Amino acid sequence: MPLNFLTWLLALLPVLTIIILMFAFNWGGTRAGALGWIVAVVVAVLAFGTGWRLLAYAQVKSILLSTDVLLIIWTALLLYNIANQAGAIRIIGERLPTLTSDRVMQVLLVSWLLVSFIQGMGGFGVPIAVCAPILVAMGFSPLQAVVMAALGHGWGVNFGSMATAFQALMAVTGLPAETLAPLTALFLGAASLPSGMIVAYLGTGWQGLKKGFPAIIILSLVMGVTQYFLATNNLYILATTGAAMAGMLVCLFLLRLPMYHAAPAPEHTAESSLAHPEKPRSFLVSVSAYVILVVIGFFVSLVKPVNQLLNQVRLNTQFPALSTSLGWQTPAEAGRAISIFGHPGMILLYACLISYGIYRYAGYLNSNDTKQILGKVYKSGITASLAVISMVSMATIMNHSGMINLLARGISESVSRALYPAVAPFLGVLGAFITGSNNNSNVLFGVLQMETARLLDLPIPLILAAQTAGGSLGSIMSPAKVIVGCSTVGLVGKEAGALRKIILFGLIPVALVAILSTIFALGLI
Amino acid sequence: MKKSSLVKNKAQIQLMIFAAELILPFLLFYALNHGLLWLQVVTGGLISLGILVQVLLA
Repeated sequence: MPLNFLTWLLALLPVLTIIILMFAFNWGGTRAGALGWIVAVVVAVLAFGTGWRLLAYAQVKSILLSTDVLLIIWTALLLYNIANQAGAIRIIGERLPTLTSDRVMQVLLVSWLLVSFIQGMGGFGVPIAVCAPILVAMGFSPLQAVVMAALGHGWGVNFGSMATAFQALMAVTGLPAETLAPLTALFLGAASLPSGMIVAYLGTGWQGLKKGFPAIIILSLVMGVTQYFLATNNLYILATTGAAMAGMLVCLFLLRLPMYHAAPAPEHTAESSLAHPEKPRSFLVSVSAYVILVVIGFFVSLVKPVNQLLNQVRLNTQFPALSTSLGWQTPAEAGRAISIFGHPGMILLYACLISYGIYRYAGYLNSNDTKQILGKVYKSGITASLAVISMVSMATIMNHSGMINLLARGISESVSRALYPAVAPFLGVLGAFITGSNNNSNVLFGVLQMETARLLDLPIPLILAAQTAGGSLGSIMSPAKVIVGCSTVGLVGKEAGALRKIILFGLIPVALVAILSTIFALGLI
Repeated sequence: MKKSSLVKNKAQIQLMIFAAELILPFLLFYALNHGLLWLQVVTGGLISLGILVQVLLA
C-alpha cells in the first residue's frame, strides 16, 4: 500500500473514530470500541485488500489476546470487591491518617501511598473514589481532594490493577515481561518522585513541600527500587502493590524521626463512627486478602518447583501465514499461550478463594454480601470486557491488514529519530486520555509504537516503556476517571476545574519520562 | 417499558454479546481449520451482529 496522506488518514480512521466518539460525543469505551471495530473491518476490506479468511483468523487471535487480559480484570475485580465488602478499604483509609498529625505526612500517606496501594489492588477509578472522600474528611476542599488523589497514583497505574495494562502491552506486542519490565519500571519509579512532590505542594504549599522533601526522596527511592525489583523478577502483578506497601512501612519508620514526629491524630472521628456504626473489625483480618495475595504471588513466582508445576498446562494454538491482496504478510505463528493454573489471573483467584473463606469464618461476610460482591463484579466486568474485546479485535485487524504499519511509516517519516523518544510518552498519554485507561492506550498504540520504533531503528523496549509509562501517567487525566472521583465528593458537573488542574500538574511527570526516554535513546542507540 | 426492565434487558443483552464474542471465535477457528464454510459464515455473522448490537445498545 503506497503511503500518502489519504491512505494514512484511512489507516487512522478506526482510531480517529474512537477518539472523536469518546472525546467529543462522550461515548463509553464499549460502544466506541465496537464502532471502531466496524470501521476497521470496512477500511481493511475496501482499502487494504483484506479477505474473509484473514479477518476471521485475526478475530480468533484477538480473543486469545483478550482472554489473557480479561482473566486478570475479572479476578482483580473479584478480589477488590471481596475486600471492599469485608470493610478492608474503609479500615485502611480510617487508620492511616490517625498515625500522625503532621499535615504533610498525612497528605503523603493518603494521597500518594494509600491511593497507589489501592491502584495496585483495584484500579478502575476506585483509588480516587476511595481516597478523595478521606481527604475531604481530613479538611481538604473536594476539588483539592480529587486532584491530589488523581495525581498521587499515576505512576502506579501500569503495574497496578494486577498489571492489567502491562499485560495488555505484552499481549499486543508479543514481547515478554523480561524485555519490557526494566525500562518501564525505571521510568515509572522516577515518575513517583514528582508525583509525591506535587501532592505535597497541593496539600500543604511550598512550606510543606520543603518540610516533606527528604521523606519524599526516601519514599520514592524505596518505591521505585521495590517496583523495579518486583517487575524484573516476574512479580510484575505485585509491583505497584509491593512498592506502595514498602513505602508505607518506611513511612511508619519516618514518622518516628524527630522532624516528622507528631502526636497521632484521634483514632476515630465522629463522622466516621456515625457512618459505620457496626462493631469494630480487626485491621489484620481486614487486610488479609492483600497479604494472602502478596504471599501467594511471591510463593508461586519464587519457588521454582511450584512455578513449574502450575505452568505445565498451557492453552496454545498455531495460526497459518496470512496475506492481504495488496501483499501485506503476517507470518505463521503461535497464538498467545495461556497458562491455565499459573496465569496471574489464577493467582488472584486463589487469593480470592482463601480470603473469602477467612472473611466468612470471621463473620465479615455473609451470603447476602456474596450476592452483592458477584453483582458488582458482573456489572463492572461485563462493560470493561466488551470494551477490551472490541478494542483488541480492532487493533489486531489493523495490524494484520497492514494499517498499523502504514501509520507507523507515516509517523517515522514525519517525526525525526532524535525527537521520537520524547514524543512516545505523549502518544501514550493521548491514548489513555481518550480511552480512559492505560490498558486501552497500550492496545491502541502498542503495536503502532513498536512498528515506528522498528522503522526508526530505535530500541523497541525503550519506546514501549515510554508508551506505557505515558499511558499510566495519562490515565489519571482521562475525563472518565475524573468523573468517578468527582462523583464521590459532590463535584458532579464541576469536573472541568479538576480536569484542568490534573492535566496541568500531570504533565510534569510525563515530561520527566520524555526527558529520560530521550537520554536513554541517546545512550542506547 | 419501565426504566428498570430496560436496564435489566440491556445487562442481559450485554451478557449474551460477551458470551458470544468469547465463545464464537473458537468455533470459527474450528470451522476455518476444517474448511466448513457454512459454519464460518454463521459464526462470523453472529460475531459481527454482536458487535453491531453493542454499538446500538446506548
